Amino acid sequence: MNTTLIEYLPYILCIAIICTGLYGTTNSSNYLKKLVSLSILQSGVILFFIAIAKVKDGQIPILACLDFKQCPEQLINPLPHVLMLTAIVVGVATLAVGLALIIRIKEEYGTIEENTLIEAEQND
Amino acid sequence: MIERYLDIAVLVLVFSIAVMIVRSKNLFTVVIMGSIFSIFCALIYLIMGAPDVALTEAAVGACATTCILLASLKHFKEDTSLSKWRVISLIVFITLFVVLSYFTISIHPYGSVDAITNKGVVEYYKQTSGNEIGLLSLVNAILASYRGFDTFGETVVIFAAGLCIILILGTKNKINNEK
Amino acid sequence: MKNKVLITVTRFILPFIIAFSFYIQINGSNAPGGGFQAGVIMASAFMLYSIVFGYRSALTFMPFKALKILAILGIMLYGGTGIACMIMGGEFLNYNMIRNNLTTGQMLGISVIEWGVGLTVFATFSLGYYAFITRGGNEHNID
Repeated sequence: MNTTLIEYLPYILCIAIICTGLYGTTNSSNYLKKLVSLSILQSGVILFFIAIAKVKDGQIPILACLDFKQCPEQLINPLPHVLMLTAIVVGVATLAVGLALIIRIKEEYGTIEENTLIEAEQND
Repeated sequence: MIERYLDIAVLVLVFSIAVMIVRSKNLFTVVIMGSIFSIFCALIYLIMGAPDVALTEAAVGACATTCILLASLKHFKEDTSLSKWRVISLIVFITLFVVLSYFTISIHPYGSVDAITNKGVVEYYKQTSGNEIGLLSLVNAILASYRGFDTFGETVVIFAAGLCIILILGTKNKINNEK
Repeated sequence: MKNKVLITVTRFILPFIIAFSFYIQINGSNAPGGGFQAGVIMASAFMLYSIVFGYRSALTFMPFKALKILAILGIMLYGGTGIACMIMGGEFLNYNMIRNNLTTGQMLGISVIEWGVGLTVFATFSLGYYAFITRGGNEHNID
């Protein structure tokens, strides 16, 4: 049972990072901390995908020669890497849009703390 | 043997940085810790054998995200308060963590060769990519040619995000101490 | 306040960052790299210049209009390659139709679209940073 747990420990740590990011998103009262916790959640998901793709004693996915049959070797799975490249850049684009919205909220209501903001919105 | 424990050691470090971000009171600390988090994530992508993703994460997370967060931090006050520990919230998250871990153990162990995710269309890409496309880098061949349409959609999404930022904030602003 | 150490180091290191971004863009086909990474590194060089020397001098050599045109140019390069493949008789983004030799057509198509992606990513990140930094904030010092 102990050896089994060591082999799954990278996955369990990635899930711990995801849960930490989710906790930060729901339990923070400041909007900027919510956004940064969301970015932690996204990094945890990407870590999980890259951890699935790893092969022990595998080479990085750059071919050594153009014909694969002449120099066959054990390669790391390249497909999750491709999907995660897209995910990282789209994630930072949405973070930037969220920050622009927070700046506008601050200019309109004067605060980005959640409790004060709900009161200010009800009094408006 | 040290390779087996290097991944786990750096992952524990990354997890502790994440906990430090969530439980901090100062916004400047949050921004700088976020940058450090990205750099250590880039290190662990490199250890796990993904150099493209490591380069992207280092450039995007450590350089661009930090600059944009610092540029927006000048609008806000720097001190925030921590919410109290709520018991029901902790119970919900620990249950979520236990349930997700239980279902994660049913996939292949870390680093196994005959995983089911390595079969299928990936074998086709490895065998025929060199002859059909002629690029040495497998990741770029898949990104630009086999899945080129997804990359087109991604580029348009980035452009749309830039458009949204200009629409929300505007480009013709007079700063307080100008003119 | 002008910081002599920052100005000297930035003057020395900024050409290397720009050259590195071009290197990663061109070597996307044989090494880790490609359009996204190169665009973000070039945007980082631009942000560094804007932080050290002030945003007004950065605005003089790369105004808003130029960035907007660059962003659109990148997407039109990508879509234009796809439509060129359709004109030559194939489907959208089928690079086999550009040249007679299949692999040469693929390499040409991939090079053009990577340049398009790099341009768009650079222009979008720089534009977002400009929009943040020129918004008036009165809490802290601006420059």
